[in-house]
Amino acid sequence: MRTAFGLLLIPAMAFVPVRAPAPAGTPSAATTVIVADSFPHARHGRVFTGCSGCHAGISSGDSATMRPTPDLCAGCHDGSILPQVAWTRRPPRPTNLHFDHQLHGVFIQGSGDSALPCARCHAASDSARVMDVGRPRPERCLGCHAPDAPGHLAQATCFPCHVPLAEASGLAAARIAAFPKPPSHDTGYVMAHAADAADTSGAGGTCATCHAREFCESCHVNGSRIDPIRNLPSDSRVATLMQGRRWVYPKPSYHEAGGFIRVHGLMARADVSECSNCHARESCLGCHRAEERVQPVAELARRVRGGARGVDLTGFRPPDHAPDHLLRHRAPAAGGDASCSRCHAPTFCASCHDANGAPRYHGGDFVQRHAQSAFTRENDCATCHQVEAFCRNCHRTTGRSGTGAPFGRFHDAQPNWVFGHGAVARRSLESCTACHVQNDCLRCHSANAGWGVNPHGPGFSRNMENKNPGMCRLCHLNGPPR
Amino acid sequence: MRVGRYAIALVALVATPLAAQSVRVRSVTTSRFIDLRPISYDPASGTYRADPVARAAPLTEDVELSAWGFRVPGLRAYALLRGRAALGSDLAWPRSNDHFDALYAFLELERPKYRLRAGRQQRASGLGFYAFDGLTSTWRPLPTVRVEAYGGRGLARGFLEPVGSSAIRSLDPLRRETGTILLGTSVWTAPSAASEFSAVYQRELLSDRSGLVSERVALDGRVEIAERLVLSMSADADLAASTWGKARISALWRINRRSFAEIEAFRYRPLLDLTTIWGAFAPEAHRGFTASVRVSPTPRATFSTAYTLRHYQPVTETTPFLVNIKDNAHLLATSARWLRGDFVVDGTYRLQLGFGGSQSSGEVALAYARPDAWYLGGRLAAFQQEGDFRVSDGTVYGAGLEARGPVGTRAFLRGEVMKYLHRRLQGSTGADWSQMRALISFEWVFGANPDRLGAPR
Repeated sequence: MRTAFGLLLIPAMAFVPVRAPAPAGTPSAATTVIVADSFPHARHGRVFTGCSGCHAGISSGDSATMRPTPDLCAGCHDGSILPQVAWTRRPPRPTNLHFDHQLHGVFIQGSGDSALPCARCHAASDSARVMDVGRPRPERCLGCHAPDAPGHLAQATCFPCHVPLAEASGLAAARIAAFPKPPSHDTGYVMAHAADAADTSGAGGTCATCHAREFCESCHVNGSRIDPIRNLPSDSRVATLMQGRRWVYPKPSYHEAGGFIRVHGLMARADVSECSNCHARESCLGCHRAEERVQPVAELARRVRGGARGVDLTGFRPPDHAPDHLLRHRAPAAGGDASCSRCHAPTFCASCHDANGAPRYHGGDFVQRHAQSAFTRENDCATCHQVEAFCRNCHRTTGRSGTGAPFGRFHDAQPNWVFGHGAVARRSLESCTACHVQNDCLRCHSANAGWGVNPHGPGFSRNMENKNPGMCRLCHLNGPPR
Repeated sequence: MRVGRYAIALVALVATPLAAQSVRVRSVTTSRFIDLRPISYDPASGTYRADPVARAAPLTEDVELSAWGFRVPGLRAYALLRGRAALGSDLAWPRSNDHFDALYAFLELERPKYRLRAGRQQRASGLGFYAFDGLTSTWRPLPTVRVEAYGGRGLARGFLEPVGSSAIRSLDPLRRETGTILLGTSVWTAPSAASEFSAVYQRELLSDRSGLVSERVALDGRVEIAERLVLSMSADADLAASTWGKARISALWRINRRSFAEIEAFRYRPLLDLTTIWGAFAPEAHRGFTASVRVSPTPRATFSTAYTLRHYQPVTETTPFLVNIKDNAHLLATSARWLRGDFVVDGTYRLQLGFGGSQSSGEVALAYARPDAWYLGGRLAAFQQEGDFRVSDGTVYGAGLEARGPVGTRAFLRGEVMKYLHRRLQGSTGADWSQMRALISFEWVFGANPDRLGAPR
C-alpha cells in the first residue's frame, strides 16, 4: 500500500530533464541536454510560480494537460536562450492506485488552504520552499483515509484509493509478489479470514485489491465451490506466481483436542464443508482407503494437477496404531473387519494374510523352513489354511505326501515310528493331515477293519454321533478302508 | 460354467454407465519360476531319493476392481479376481490347473449405521479366516458397538473352493461331496479408547443338514492402562466337542514410542472339523510362553529378539518306542534393521531346538532403498536343520537379488531371484533342497488409487 502511494503523481513528473555539460567545441546554447528521469523542480523555482503552468490538467481534470508537453520546455530551451532538451513523455507508471486530483484539489481549496494545495501531498519536506517537490508520502493520505481516522473520510476498505488487482493490468508479477502484508494479516489471520472474505460489502471487498482467484485456490482445494473465491477475478500473473507453491496448512486448535480422531467422522457427516477448505479427497483417502464411496469423503473436492494439494496426510497413522500395533491388531480385527475396512482394503490384509498367494507374513525362505514351525505349531496354520487340503496339495506335488513307503519310512529318524507315532500325532495332529489322507489312519484306526485301534481320547463322548453321524460311519460302518 | 457366471457378473458391472461411477482397477501379473527336485520312495533301496530337477513356471493374474457411485450413496462393487496358468511346467504346480478364482466379489452398501455386503467374501475373526458366498450385515448402533451376522455357502480356507468340490475331494477320496453352510454372529465393543472386546459365535453345517461341521466361539479383549501397559487375551472353544482350543494372555509394556517388551502365555489345541475322522481324534494341548523385546534407540535402528518355550505332554507316558523325542521346543529369534542414508541393512537369526527338530537359520539383506523410488538389494541366507521325523536334513545356502520400484506413476515392477544349494549332513540320499526360485511381477493401476496418493486420476 505504501509502495503504491509512493507512486502517486510520479508518472506526471517522470519526464523531467536535467542539464548536462555541453560537449567541448559546440555552442552552449545549441547543445541538446540529455534527459534524466527526474525533473529538478527546485532549480526551476524562480521560473515557475506555481504548478498549474505545467500541470494545468490536474485541477481541470483534463488528462491531456496534466503533464507538460515537450513544446512547453522548448519555450525556453530553444537552443538559443537555453540549450535544447530532448525528451519524450514517459507513459504512466503501472499502478493499482486510483487518485482523483480534481476532487482532492477542490477539497483542499475548499478547506481554505488555497495557497499551494499541491504541496499538501507533494512537498518533499516541511520547508515550505517553492517547488520543493518530492514523492507523495502515504501517511499524508492516511491522515484522512486511515481505517481508524476520525471523520467521514475514514476508509474501511482499500477502495477507492486502490483498484482491484485485475484492473491494474500494468503491474508486473514481481510487483504483485512484493506487495506488503497488511498488519492485520498476522499469523492468526489465516484461521479468521473467512469472515472477512465473506463480507463482500465491507472488508471482503478489499481482498481483490491484492488477491486473485488463483491465490485462494492455491490453498483451498474447494475454491471453485466458495462464492467469495469464485467471485474473485482470475489473474494470469497470480496464477504464474502460485505455480508449484506448497502451503503449510495450519492446524485448527480443535484438531489438537483429545479424541478428535474418534469424532471427526461424525463432524464430517454433519457438515463437511469446513473440512473441505483444507482437505482434498486424497487427504482422507490416506486413511479411508476404501471409503471414497462414503458421502462426506465423496463430497470433498479431488486434488487436481497444478491445483491445491490439500492437507497431505501421507504416512499418518491413528494414535492407536503405535509400532506395537502389528502385535495387537488381532483384538480390533477379531470382531470382524467392519472397523478395519474403514481404512483398509481387503488387499491390505491379504498382503500378509493371503493364504492363496505368497504372503509376507511368513518372511523369507519360509517354504524351506516351515516344517519345524508346522510341527511345533509355532504358527496356527489352520487360521488361514485348511491344512488337510492346502498343505497336502503342495506336499503331493513335491512327493512328500506319498504314502507308498512302508512302515513310515519317511519318518526315518525313528526306527519304530509306527508304534510310537500316536504320541507325536496327539501333539501335532494337523501336521499329520498335511500329508496323510484319512485312509492312512483307517488302516489301523477303524472299528471294522485294520487293527481296531481306538483313536478317541479319554473322556470321549458318544454324543459326537449326534453331531455328525457321517463322520462316525467312516470308521464304524463303512467296512474296511480302501 | 462357473467362469461364465463370473464373466456375466463382470460384464453387468462394467455395463453400468461409467459416467455415473468411479472405478479403480489394479492389475498384478506375477510369473514365478521354480526349479527343484521332488522326492520319491525307492523300493529298491528302501529310502527316499531326490528325483531329477523339475521346473515350474506358474503365472497368476490378479485383478482388483472397485467401483462406486451408482447413484446410491455408499454402494460399491468390489472384486479381487485371480487367474492362473502354468507356463510350460514339468510339475503339476498346485492350483495351476484351477484357472480362475474369485477371492472377493461382493456388493456392499455402507451407511453410517449399518453395512450390508453380499457375495464372495472372507471374514477374519478370532476364529481365523473363513471364506463364504453369502451375506454379512453389520449394525453400528453406537460408534463403540458393532454387531454382525453373516452366513452363506462355506469355502475351504486358503482354497476358496466349496468343501465338497472335486478339487478338495481329489486330495482325499473319503471327502464327501456335501458342501457346508456357514452361519455366525459377532459383537464388538470399545467401552473406551483404551479397551475393546469382541465375541464371535460360528456354526458350520453340512449343506444337506445331516451333520455339524463345527460350532465354535472366540473371545478377544484388550485393555490399555496408563498408555504404557497393554493387556490382551484371546480364547476359542469348540462347542461341538466341548473343548477349549487356543488361548493366550499377554502384557505389553511400552518403553517409549518405538520400543516395547511383551510377555505372553498361551495354550494351543487344534480344533478340527467334524467332516473327517480327525475330528474324533484326541489331540493334546501344549502350553508355553513367549518373551519378546523390541528396542529402537533411533528411528533408523531397530533391534528385536524373542524367546518361546513350548511344553508338550511327555511322550514317555504313552509309548516306549520313540527315541530322543523332546518334550519341550525352544525358539530364539532375533532381528536387526539399520538405515544409513538410502541404504538399509536387515538381519535375522532363528534357532529352534527340541521337539519338531532343530533348525538354525539366518539371513542378511543389504539394499539401496530411496523412499518412493527403486529398491535394489541382495540377500544371503543359510539354514541348517535336522528333522525329527522326516528325511530332509542338511545345510542350505542361498543367495539372491531383489529389485522393485515404480515405473511412472501408475505402474510398479518387482523382480527377485534366489538360488539355494543343499549339502546333506549325513549320507547322500534323501531330499535335495537345491533349487532356484524367481519371480517377476508387474502392477498397474487405473483410477484414483488411494493407496498411491501421488497418482493422478
